[in-house]
Amino acid sequence: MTTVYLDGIGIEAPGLRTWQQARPVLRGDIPFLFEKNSHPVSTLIPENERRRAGDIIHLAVHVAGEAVNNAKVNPESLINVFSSYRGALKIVDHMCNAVTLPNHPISPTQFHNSVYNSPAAYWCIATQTRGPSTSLACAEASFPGALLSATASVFTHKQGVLLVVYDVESPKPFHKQYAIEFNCGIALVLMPSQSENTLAKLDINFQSRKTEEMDMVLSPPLLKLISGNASAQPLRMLSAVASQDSREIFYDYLENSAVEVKVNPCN
Amino acid sequence: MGCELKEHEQALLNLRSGLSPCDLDFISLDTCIGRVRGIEDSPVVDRLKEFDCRNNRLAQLALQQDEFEQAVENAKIRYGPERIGLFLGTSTSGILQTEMAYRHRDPATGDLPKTYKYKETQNNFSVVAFVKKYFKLEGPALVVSTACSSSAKVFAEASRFIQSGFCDAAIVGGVDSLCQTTLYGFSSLELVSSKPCRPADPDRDGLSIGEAGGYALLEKPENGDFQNQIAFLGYGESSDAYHMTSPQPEGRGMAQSMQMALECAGLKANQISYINLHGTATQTNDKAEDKAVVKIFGSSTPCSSTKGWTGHTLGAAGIAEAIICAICLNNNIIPGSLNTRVLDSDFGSNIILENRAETLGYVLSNSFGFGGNNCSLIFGIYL
Repeated sequence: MTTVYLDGIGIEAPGLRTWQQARPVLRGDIPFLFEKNSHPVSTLIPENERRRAGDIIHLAVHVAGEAVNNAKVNPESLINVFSSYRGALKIVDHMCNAVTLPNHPISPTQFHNSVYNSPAAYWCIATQTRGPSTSLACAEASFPGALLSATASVFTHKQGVLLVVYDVESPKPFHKQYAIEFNCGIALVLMPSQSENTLAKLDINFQSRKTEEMDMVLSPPLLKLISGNASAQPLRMLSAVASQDSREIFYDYLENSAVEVKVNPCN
Repeated sequence: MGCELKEHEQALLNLRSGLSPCDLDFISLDTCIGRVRGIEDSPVVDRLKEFDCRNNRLAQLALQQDEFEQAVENAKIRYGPERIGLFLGTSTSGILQTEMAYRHRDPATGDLPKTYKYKETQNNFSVVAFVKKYFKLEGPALVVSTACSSSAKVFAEASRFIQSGFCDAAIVGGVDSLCQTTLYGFSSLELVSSKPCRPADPDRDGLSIGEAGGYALLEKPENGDFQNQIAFLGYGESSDAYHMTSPQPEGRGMAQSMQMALECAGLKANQISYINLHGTATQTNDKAEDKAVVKIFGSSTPCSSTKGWTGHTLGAAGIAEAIICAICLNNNIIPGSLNTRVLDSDFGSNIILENRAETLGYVLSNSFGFGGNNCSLIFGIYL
């Protein structure tokens, strides 16, 4: 069991546009309304790069910026852990099309934006963050996998971590193979010690044998959001934070394993 | 360069490069590649056939070498399959499978063929999903995908998971395989050489791209007798925060990553007896890395890039060069800079052009990726 402190949240999902707006919705005070969202445009990205950055980069940088603001921390002091189930599939679509054409006209910008760590790289450039930055893949379990990694970083380096998960609408050729139909990005700032900005204490554990089934505390429309986009998984944990409920949440990780999160709200 | 450690050792000692003119039937480009022979004839095991693609074939071919399977089975008995972590790096996963699928789309609907398996091949987690099932492992598992530093960073990731108590031992490694988008993509950036790459040469004109797969089993020293085995001693990680494809020209992030690795290992710069450079043979990388090395180590520590043997194996470069460092430590040899004729006169670091015998203490290996993602690792012999 390893403890981290949640100091800041950033969110962009259909009907959940900022943490401040999402909080009463997750608490159940305001009904959740699914409103399909176009991807945000992050003004943190320098103007000359803004046009060239794709939807997934804007989404990740946008929610990361909100989380860091809410946590009132300097992004330069944080280690980055970024994760996505699908990565930049639209670029994969463009590039795989291009290589079927004469002379294989791949755009150099799309090529360098195609690397899985490009959202984290744009974030580092935008905020001049020069510390360690990791981009992880863990399929549907991208959030629990990245949460374990982030926790291990907080524990090992006694430093704060910016954890960002994001997935965007998938392009048409992939629709028959698990389509993602809406954008969702969530960022969390996790700290090694409690501060006046701490929202919740999180006790995190890896369980090689799952002992509990997924909880179903969320309303059916919110559960639909979670089943439609792997990056909406943190909402299960964040609903406890919003309601100021102490709750134990079990995330399905790989095959029979789970990541257990005990949420203890702080204020 | 071949399969097994032995063949790599022989290739290094005998100056036999793994690079040859590109003869892949799916690439028409005037360049040299580091191609692993035999992938086409080595499908993945039948019980995991939905994972079959060039990248997972290479993953399987690599784990079948040097009795690695037996080492993993022994570790499973010692630690339990649920206490062994699995951390692999890849940059492009099985994208070649998607490239091929795009040639066979339904002309009316644009749909990809039914035989195409996105999740098992193209998705970035595919290689860990495959290896995890292959070995029937039950511990925490992740793919690190930070372009060309991916399979160096898995060492850092595994260390943190072990230190945090999420696992007791870890398999680390990386796999990246040749594909169209990588070769044509680097070509679109004008970073691919038509000749075998020449790191640190004034006439260097870009990469030779290669493919590779490799693994290492990491265990804590108190869990066995590891005398005279290779020890992983420290890591450093940093970000340039500068540009997507060009390194920060003064090598700022690169220097920071090397400095952090020294601090992590508790070593001073003068205790490092060899640096295996990232040394891709692009104008900008080699120049910035030279400045970074001089800043941290001065002008006397011997260093070289071994990309003249392997080509740039991208997401597998970290593990490939970690293993080359292990071969150097075991043989007390500093490899030269194969294919490099003369040194760039602007360079200040002590780049070795020809193989030389030397008793090695600690060695450092650099891996730097797109987006300015840097990682440095330090290895030695456990005494």
